Amino acid sequence: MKNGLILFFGVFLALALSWAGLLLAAQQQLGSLGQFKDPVEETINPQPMSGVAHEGLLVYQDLGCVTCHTQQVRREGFGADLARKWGTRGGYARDYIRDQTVLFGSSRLGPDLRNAGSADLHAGVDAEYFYRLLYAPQSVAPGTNMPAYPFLFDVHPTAGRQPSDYAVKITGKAAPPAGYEVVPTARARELVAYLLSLKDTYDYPIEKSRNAPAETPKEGGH
Amino acid sequence: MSAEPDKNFRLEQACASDDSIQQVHAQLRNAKPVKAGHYPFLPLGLLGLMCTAIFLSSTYLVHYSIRFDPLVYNDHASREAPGALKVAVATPRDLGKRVFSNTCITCHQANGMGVPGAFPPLAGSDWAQGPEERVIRIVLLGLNGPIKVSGTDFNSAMAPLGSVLKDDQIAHALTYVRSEWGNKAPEVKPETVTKIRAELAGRTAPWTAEELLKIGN
Repeated sequence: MKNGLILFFGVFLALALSWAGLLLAAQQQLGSLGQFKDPVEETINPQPMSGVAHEGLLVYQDLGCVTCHTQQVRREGFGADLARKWGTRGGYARDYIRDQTVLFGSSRLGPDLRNAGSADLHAGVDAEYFYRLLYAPQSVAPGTNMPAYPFLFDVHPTAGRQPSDYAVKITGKAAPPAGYEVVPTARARELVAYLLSLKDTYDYPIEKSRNAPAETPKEGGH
Repeated sequence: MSAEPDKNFRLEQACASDDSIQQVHAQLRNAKPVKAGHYPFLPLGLLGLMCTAIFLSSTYLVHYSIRFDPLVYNDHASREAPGALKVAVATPRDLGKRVFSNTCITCHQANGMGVPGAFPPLAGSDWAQGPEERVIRIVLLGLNGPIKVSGTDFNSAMAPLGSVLKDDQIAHALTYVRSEWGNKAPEVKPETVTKIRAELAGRTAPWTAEELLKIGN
């Protein structure tokens, strides 16, 4: 082949440079990010995920929640994420270090879920709320386009057995017939544990200080 | 064999008489020959466009890549290099609050008011703000029997915490109690706790209010 060696090295260089730039440099810059221990509160952030929550992460992936729900809060000035109470601050790279597969998502047919488990941001949102939302979305969020996930629940008669501790109270149109109860399966419980573990409410002092706006924001270019 | 040349001749005749083919041939004859191994130069306009693009993107990069810091997400962040990170240092009071919320809060409550009739208050209490020798002894070995706190009589027991808490934890917790809820009493040093603990070596019985009132006058 004519000029075969030049061609080979050209292709090799192009691939090697992009690998070094996109992967190696990024790994060098952010690969060493670790958990941060708050010296006063003595909390470790981001908190490691519990085992049940990690199982729930797999359910989240399995059900394809990522198709309609993102997990990335944009900082101030980029959309209305903070005004919608999807977070208290924009996301940092450090928030994601516990995620083996980062479920960013790309389409927001539903709300962002990065802080779904934050009780400060969403008052009254607890496990019961998520169970109802999953079993019959219209019963808690009328008009939502979220599909129901009834297969995550067992609907069985209460006659002749002890009532379940986990039974979910569903009212309205989706309520089970009299004498039946709706009990979340293990998958539903894991998924809800995962959702409740999602909260990036801690603001890291390193990122906070480096992202502090300049005293007098400069206008125009340089 | 004689028919073949005839056919070719007639074909060539047709081509020669076709105007469009003649035009194409004329254009090809007039076109400048391309030198083998050479390409035409890049048009100057295109070169200018690319230079402008590179210039503008470099300007953008310099303006918005804050020191190429991977942890900066805000393009309006300060462009001066940050100083050393100010990590909040936990004061003895902060540490004491933690000890208080883990241990003392059960009886004395978060507001320091105790439980009326059962556990004495710490807020505004003459005992809590009294001599440090007394409060350290109370925490180390506990207290039993009647005691008059801020003019109210109490009669219950406080558990000894000397074996549960370390010297500095006791000092910090007392510092917190003596400076919170409007209390104004000096800080308690861990060394003082260590000293008193050493003095009390061997004693396990809880104190009584009468005994303590003889100390630290």
